[in-house]
Amino acid sequence: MTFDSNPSDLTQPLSVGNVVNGGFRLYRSNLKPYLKVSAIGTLWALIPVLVIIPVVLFYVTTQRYYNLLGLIVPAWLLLVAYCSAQYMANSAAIARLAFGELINQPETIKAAYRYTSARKWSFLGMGALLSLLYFGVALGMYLIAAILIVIMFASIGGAEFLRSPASAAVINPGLAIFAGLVILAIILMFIVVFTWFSVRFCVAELPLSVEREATATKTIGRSWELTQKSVWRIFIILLVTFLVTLPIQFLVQVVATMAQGAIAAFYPQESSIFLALTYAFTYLLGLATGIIVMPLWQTIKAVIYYDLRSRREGLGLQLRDPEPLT
Amino acid sequence: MRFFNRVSLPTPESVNLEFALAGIGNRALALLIDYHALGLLLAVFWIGWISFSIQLMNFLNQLNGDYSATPNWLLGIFLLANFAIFTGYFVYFEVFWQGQTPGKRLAKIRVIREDGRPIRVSQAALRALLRPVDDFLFLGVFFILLSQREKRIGDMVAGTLVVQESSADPKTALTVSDEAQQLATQLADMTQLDALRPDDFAVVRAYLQRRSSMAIQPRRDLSMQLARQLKTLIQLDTIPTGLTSDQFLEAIYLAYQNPSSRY
Repeated sequence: MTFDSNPSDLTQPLSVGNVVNGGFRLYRSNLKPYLKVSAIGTLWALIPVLVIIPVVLFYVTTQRYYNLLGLIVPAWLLLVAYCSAQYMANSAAIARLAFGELINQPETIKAAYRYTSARKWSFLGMGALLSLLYFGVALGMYLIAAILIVIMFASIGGAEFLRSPASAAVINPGLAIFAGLVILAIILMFIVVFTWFSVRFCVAELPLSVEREATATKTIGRSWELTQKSVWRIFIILLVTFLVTLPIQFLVQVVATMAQGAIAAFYPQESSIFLALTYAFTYLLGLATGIIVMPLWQTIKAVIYYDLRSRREGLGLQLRDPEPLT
Repeated sequence: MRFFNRVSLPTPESVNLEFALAGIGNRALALLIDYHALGLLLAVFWIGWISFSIQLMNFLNQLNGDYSATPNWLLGIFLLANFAIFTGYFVYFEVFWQGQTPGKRLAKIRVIREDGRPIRVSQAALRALLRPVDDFLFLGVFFILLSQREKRIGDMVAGTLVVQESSADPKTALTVSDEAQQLATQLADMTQLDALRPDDFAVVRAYLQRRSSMAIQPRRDLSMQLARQLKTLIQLDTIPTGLTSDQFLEAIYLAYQNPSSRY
């Protein structure tokens, strides 16, 4: 990407809106190559689904050979792991391509994919670690929520209140309101905490895609450290991007409803063919949407990462190469 | 690909003005803020109107007379007022704030006419009247994304553009140490400051402006690297002892910025 010659473009951090703009402009000027990589990645993710369908059909029709499952299930899980790693390598390739353009070092698709594909198991490891982290966060939150609910029940009269909630609430409506507020606060806490963690981990795949020394664990640490002072800003960036993609989701919904109507014109709504066709169509439509939307999130994340490194590490603040003194 | 979508507008004075178009991100952000402000405004109006209507009906019921048509009138006025608030919000601000609504001001964007002049009531009204089509039918996004000049239907009809405000360099006061100030006065004689280009100076200034928000280790590395490169460029043998690389950069900034010490 060639920045304008105006140096202030190069040395100023990007505003929220311009980060989103940057993502869209990167996607728009590389529409075909990004869509291609996205489609390949999504097809990898489709393979486990395509494999499991004949297996299920086989068992439904034969009702035998169950002892083979001991072999099939682990093999299928391995396949899922491999295909997920491939998917992540492909989506990371898009992020790498986008970042390459941002720092004026564009790459070919092949070169970018070669780099990320060589690290596909690290990407899988990163994904597993992130899942574990989120699981831990969820567990902690459930504990806190449980404690809060117990305290709340105890303070409003415990089992007595439960036994005849209607009458107790009538006697003291303040208690019912209090209980409602506590539950609202808990829900709010879940949303805020999960959003906060999602923002902190949102650029986790970028360091692994572009920094030579990154590993599955280090890349998460990098995301954590880079996003430290920008949580609110990144949240707004992600929110605005989501808002802009809403019309696309809306369009997909319209198409899905229309297709359902069309299928209903040929098959009765209760028939299994209708159900199968609708499910298949909705699934394929979802995949197509995924193929279109995924590169956008990758380019947006690449711009966020670029901007964070420019803010936190002065990326791009380079003097010209010193001229050789003759 | 360029980061900003720039357009050049011929003005009536046959001078070309350059603008960076606002882009989907800034416009969506502005809309997000404006709709929150508008929602708040409408909520206040609703509460006020409903309590006013209730009290009015209570009062009228005490009088003897047939007021059965009043609720319909109240509802009619209520609906009209909602429309007026929605349209009026955008028209009022875009006209009196020179093409900016509160959301646009925060997003640092502005509506202008195609010849670069500020918009008037007619343009603002057309934009506001076509806004429901663009926003609620989700058409605006597609038009902005797909058209060359990022115009939604309202912009096409009104003949307007949404552009970024040319942001002047942030005039953040740079804090400079005393040591650097002392060195700056000597640097002009000691070195070849003329070898520095405006680009180099811009990088040094940007570093000094932004260093406080940088992480410790990368900042240290960057500072050292810049200082080393500058030392070579201005043909200085050694950085005076006892100075940090940051202080050296500050001194270069001061010496270069103040031409009186250079000639």
